[in-house]
Amino acid sequence: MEKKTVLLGETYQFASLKEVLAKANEERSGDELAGIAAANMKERMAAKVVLADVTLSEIRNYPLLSPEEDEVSRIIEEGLDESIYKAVQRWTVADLREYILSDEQSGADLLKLGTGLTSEMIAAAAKIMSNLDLIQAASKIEIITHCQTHIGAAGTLASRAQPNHPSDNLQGMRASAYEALSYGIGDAMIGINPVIDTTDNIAALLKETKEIIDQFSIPTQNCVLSHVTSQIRAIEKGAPADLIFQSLAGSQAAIESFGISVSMLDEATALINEKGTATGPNRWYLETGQGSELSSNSHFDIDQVTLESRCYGLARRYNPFLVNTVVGFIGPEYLYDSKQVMRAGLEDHFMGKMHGLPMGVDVCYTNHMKADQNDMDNLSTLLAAAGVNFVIGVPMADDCMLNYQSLSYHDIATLRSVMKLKPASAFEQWLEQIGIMQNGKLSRHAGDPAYFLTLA
Amino acid sequence: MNENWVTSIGLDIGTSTTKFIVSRLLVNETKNRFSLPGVQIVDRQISYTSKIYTTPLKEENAIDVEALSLILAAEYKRSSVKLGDVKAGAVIITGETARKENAEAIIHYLAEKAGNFVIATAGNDLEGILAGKGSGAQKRSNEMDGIIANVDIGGGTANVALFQHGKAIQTCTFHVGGRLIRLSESGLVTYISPHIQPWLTAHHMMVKKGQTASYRQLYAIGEKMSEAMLSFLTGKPALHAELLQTAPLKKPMEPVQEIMFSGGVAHMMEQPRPITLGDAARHGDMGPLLAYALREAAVFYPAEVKAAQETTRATVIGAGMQNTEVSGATVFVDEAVLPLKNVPIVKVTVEQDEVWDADLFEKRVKQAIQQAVCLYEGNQPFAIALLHISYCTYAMLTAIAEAIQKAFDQHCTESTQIVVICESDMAKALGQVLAKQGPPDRKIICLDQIDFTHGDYIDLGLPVAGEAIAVSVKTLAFS
Amino acid sequence: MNEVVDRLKNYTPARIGVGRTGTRPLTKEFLSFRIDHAAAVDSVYGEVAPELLESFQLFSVDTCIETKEHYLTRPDQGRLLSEAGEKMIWEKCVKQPQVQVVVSDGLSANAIEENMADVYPALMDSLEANGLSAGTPFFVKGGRVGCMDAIGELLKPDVFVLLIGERPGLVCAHSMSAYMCYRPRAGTRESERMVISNIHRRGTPPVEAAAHIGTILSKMIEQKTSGVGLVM
Repeated sequence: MEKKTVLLGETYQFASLKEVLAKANEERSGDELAGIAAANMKERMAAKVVLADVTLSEIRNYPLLSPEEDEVSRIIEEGLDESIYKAVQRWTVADLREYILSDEQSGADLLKLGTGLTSEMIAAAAKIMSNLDLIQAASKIEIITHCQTHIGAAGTLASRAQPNHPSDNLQGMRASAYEALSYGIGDAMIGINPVIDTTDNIAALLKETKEIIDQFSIPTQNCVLSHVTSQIRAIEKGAPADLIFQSLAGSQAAIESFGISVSMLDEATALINEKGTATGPNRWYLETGQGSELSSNSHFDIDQVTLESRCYGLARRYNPFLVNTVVGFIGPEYLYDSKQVMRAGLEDHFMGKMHGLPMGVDVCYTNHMKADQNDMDNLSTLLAAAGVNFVIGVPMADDCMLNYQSLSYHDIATLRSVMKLKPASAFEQWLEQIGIMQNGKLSRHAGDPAYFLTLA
Repeated sequence: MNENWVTSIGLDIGTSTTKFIVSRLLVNETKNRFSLPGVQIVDRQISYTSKIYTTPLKEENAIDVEALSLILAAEYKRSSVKLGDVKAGAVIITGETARKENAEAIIHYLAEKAGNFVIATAGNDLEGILAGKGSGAQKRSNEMDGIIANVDIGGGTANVALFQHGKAIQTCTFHVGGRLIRLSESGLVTYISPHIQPWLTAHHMMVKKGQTASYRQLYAIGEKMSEAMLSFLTGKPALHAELLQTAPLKKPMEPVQEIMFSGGVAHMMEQPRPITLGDAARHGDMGPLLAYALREAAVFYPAEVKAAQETTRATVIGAGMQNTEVSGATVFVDEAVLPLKNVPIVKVTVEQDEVWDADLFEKRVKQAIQQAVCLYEGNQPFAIALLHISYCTYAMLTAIAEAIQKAFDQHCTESTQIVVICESDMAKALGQVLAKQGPPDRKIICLDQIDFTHGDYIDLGLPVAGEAIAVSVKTLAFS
Repeated sequence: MNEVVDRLKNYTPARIGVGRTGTRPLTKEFLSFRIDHAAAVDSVYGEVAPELLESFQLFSVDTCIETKEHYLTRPDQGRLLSEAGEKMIWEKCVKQPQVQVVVSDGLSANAIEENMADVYPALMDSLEANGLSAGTPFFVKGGRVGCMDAIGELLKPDVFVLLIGERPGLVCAHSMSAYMCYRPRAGTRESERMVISNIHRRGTPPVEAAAHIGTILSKMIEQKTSGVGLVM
């Protein structure tokens, strides 16, 4: 598929849809590292202009990676609602953008439309949308999921408590979890990134997080973010897990570099449905993030926004309880500075929501990236406005195990206060009941982790 | 990662009963491509439990070693443990049977028949701590804020260990036990322990050997005994509690918030109230009545009673399962020197008041080694335990090694080995420097990540996972 | 705050028990967090003092990196040696040594400045204790882990140790890693490399980490492999 356009007196030629999609991206270091980015602003705009006129059927008919050669493409293709696709196949990407942003369409309409779109179509729309477009569109969509509790209702902002410890010390983890809970954080889940990936350790962490939940009757769910195989072993040995976790990527080669496959994920789904401790139907916690395909050299010259969208195409198959894009974790060679991280966070959130996914964002950065905590203040406020399902909280924004910064428990409490958002409903009732919140506000016990020892 | 099961046995020879367990300790060696190896005991499981035997005695408190050896031989066979497999464990000889003659006879027997790495220890303090580890009190102390006392009551004594945040912080022992007064089913007193005479006299409780005691009389003794001990533990000693103590305390006791009972008497606390005197004396002693009285009395003291995971077998489980630890995973060991048993620990402070001064350290090492040579004469090896190192630089490392080598050159010329233990992770580096500096025929054992704060002796076993060796830190044996 | 909070804080290096005003952190905690971030960022942009390199008699060579921004966005260029660098290494170094030791600033110059004095001599002791001999050590400016492959191609050592600054965290901006590999060359798989990471005074103890390197290297030489295949 060759495309050509004249812009400001200059002719721009694109050899393939892949090239158009890549060059239409807002500037980001990962596309430059891959050598696929637009050479300058004018070429970027030319690509956007060309992309706006591409029809959805063209996108489907010229696959970037064919379903025969790539499992992720196959899943996306098989998951498509043909009748809805047929109704919109003649639309251009510009039509798609305008439909999404139109006042006429409710969130439910967008969710219905999403089932007939491939991940590439959704990515294409994002590429010709501004930051505020992405916020406006996503804010219409409400996605409620159910594991032990329900999250995602409009007017709520849930949060994952991430009480990591550099040596998986159970007491340290517990102390940090108390701090989170004391700020009303942890309604999406209490989730640990373990250091030691042994079955026994994973089982111990699952048991301990579950014990905290049971001890204080917390309406939330637990998860330990090790490789899916070690979680499977721990769950098979009887460890209590509400959720099962895996990182996803947007090409078969990339997920293989994680040591997983679609059949392995299917197996894990069957296991967590059978042996998981939750009551609701949504049992997966999935993580994604732009750039992971390039880092494992399995990007096939596809840009990182499109690949990220394909992650969501894969995620959709598993009806997850939570999907989290760890947006600023990967490093400056993929997202150089706060501007790029902010853009990526809004894109990921929008694209995930259009796939019908319960999107959360780890609003975060590493120390070698040109960003600081003020940038996280900004992005988290934008995401709260966009209706993000949940965000990640760590003590004072500093994850002492993963060595990066996310949001602090304070920040999430602040977002709720400023944006008039509540914790997930059952969790809020629990906070009121144990005395962390009073009439919708943090009480005098809030912020005191030792308070939980007096309840113990 | 490597998983390694180590067989450990526990043997508890008490005043009235003898128990034996076989346990398996899972030693987990974490080896990955990203960090220094680590090793820890991640699981402790009981694989065999004997029945509870009456301790075979020849006469008053002298153990019938021959009868005991028959029991043990049968138990080893039944548990299908091979002697060669036993790498760790402990024998506890407790209460009034813990006499030197008994201990020596048993150790002599065990050395040949019970496996290579069986440690023989005794003493109320250690026994109390082990019981607290076996009963679950130590674990509970990690979950709570405050102090929990484990009161292990057997035939002769109640061994109390106080735990706070997972550590034993104090021990004390009372002459409170089920067999201090023995009687027939009709109430005829056949024995009164001389240890409780002063206390009985102080309370004008007149029971005498050869006389018949009533249910009420015996219950009153049990009740007063319980109250004396509980008042002491909760911070308001009354009823001449001090007369029941085996030794005065070295430091004042902190009042406890929770109490756990273990031991044979604790087991009887779960049983229904003895109705008649005959019922109460069913074991030929005051045990059931003491148990009942203790249960009733405990309600009135400001400490919550927590149920123990193990009662009768708490000590033997503590000894068999909980007593062995492992050293750090990166150490400097000359295996030819191992195992070493009953190595006295000689503590040397590295940083006094958090200040490193090489000259002062050299003086302290010299002094400590001089003393050790006098104390332990001849070739008895001792372990230099390095205390208080906030951060070990390379400069400190070389200075520490030099000071130790120099002291050995001057005061231990005939010694063929240097044993150094430290708390922080530095043993391999220190061992390499010590080896580089010293004469080649002086063997170096340098171990780390050992908590020796409450220890007087250490047993150094064989490697159990990678370089890490099994160790057991002990308080004074046979004191 | 109270004793109980202090006890909870003892269990974890995480910033807990920090208190709040309204929903926001207290000023002292907030500034202390920003200070640690500042230290981490400055560490990324810092440089190792030439005097330090001289004191360990290390000469310095460049990779294909020109600026810090270049370094951060082009990891591929930090894996390649500059032409002048290659020439200098070829002229000054013992060829085919048993052990090649290289030091690089990586993502934290600070890591080298803080840890060299403890790690380097203990590493030399460790080589000696294990009967290993080292070639000519040197410093690589702007290096990535993969630069060991380029140097491996040039000098063909049996085993390689690269001491390199890690991406700074807030807890510690001067953490060092020791990467090890058996016969590194173009195309070395990541799974062949081994590393002791988090080396700093409050992490993996520097002297002990260095002391263990000799043990690992001897096993590599003995088994003629490294990484997942190495039996430790």
